Amino acid sequence: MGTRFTQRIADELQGAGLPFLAFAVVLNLALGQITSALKIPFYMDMVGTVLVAVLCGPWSAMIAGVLSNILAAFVGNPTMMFFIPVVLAIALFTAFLARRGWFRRISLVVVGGILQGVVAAVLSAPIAAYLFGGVMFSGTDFLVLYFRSVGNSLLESVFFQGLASDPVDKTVTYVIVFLVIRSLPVRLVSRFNGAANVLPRAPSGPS
Amino acid sequence: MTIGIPEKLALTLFLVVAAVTLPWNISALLIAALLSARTLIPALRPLDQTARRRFRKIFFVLLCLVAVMTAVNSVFVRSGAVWAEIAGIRLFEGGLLFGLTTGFRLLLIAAAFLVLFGSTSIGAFADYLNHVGIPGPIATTALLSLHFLDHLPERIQQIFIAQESRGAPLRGNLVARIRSFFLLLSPLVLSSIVESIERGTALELRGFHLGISLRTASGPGNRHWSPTTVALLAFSIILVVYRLTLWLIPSP
Repeated sequence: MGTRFTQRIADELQGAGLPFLAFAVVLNLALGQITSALKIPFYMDMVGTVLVAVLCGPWSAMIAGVLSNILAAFVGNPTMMFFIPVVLAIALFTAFLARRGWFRRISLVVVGGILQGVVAAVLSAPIAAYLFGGVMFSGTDFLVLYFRSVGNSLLESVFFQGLASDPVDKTVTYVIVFLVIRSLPVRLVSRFNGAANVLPRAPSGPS
Repeated sequence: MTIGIPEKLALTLFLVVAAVTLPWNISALLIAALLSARTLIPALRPLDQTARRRFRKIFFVLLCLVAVMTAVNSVFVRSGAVWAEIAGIRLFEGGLLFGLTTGFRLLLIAAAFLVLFGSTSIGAFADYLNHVGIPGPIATTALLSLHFLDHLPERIQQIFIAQESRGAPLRGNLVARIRSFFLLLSPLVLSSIVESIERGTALELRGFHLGISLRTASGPGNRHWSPTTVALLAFSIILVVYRLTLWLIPSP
């Protein structure tokens, strides 16, 4: 690994970054548990990754995403391993938006969530269609089946299913992360490398 | 023949490649072979009763899902000839084949991962990752994640009970449940951030972040591969090449 690359990861993992990364990995898995316990119709399996992308940075978020999918395969959903490219794209895209200050205003957060959902649907459709025939052992399989039964091709059906569910799920995820970060004390947020992404910009002094 | 973690990883890769490239009936045969190997080869046996129970439970649920998905697909994906008619409901061959192909593909992949993780202790796996050159901090993150994986459900349960005893409507209608989701999430994230800061401070005090270089502590490690690992990797590559050839050169 190049020195600059390793140094960037090292910078992001300073202080609370590394333990928080580990927590975010498990949060991705645990939120699935909470949503199923509360019977809420969302996946919410990217909250931890999005939190890390905003509070730490892109490299940590990519590590969190990859580890989450490996652990998800370990706890019983092996198909998640194949969606690692999608997770990497989500981590990079979220960190890109966060760097540009999109997590400071709720309106931008909503727009970012919708864009993220479309990106996720576009990237995951070929994987789900060509590797798994659109069958992912989840409730959305029936949506794919419905789109196929009305005459769409497999790839189209999987893409339409993604477009129907991903933008909503990712928007909710983004809004949750925004609300959680807003509810945190500034002194806690400021312990992270990406604090500048969410804390209000300091007013520029008189020149 | 000794079967260590490299051999198990190569076997998992081979089974995943086979699941994606070969027809469903060969996937079914490989599942049967894997289940037999899991009984006959000590290195592939579950580590403890929990792993054994988890394997049985997940495998049984996935098997039921394969049956349901095959049945549903053969009813709704109306391609090919009618294979059977039960109580006026026609089952189509195209849908049946599609359901069997995707179902057995997922089942084989799931079985491969379940055997790999069920028969390998997490500590040994983390040691192996560190040994082959995975950077120390990433291996540490993986280990910390596994620690949280053990403790987080317990913490969620405690927060769940605490919020419910305060009168949070955790079992109300959908809007109430979505609202209560935040009542669970906020304390969970807050407590975890506080714990992360404490652990980060502890790591710093022990000099963990001093000159952090993201290099493994144990060096590049032994890269020697056994004949079994080489054979499994070679079979995987052959299957991928075979499948790509079929895909790129269409049959006349």
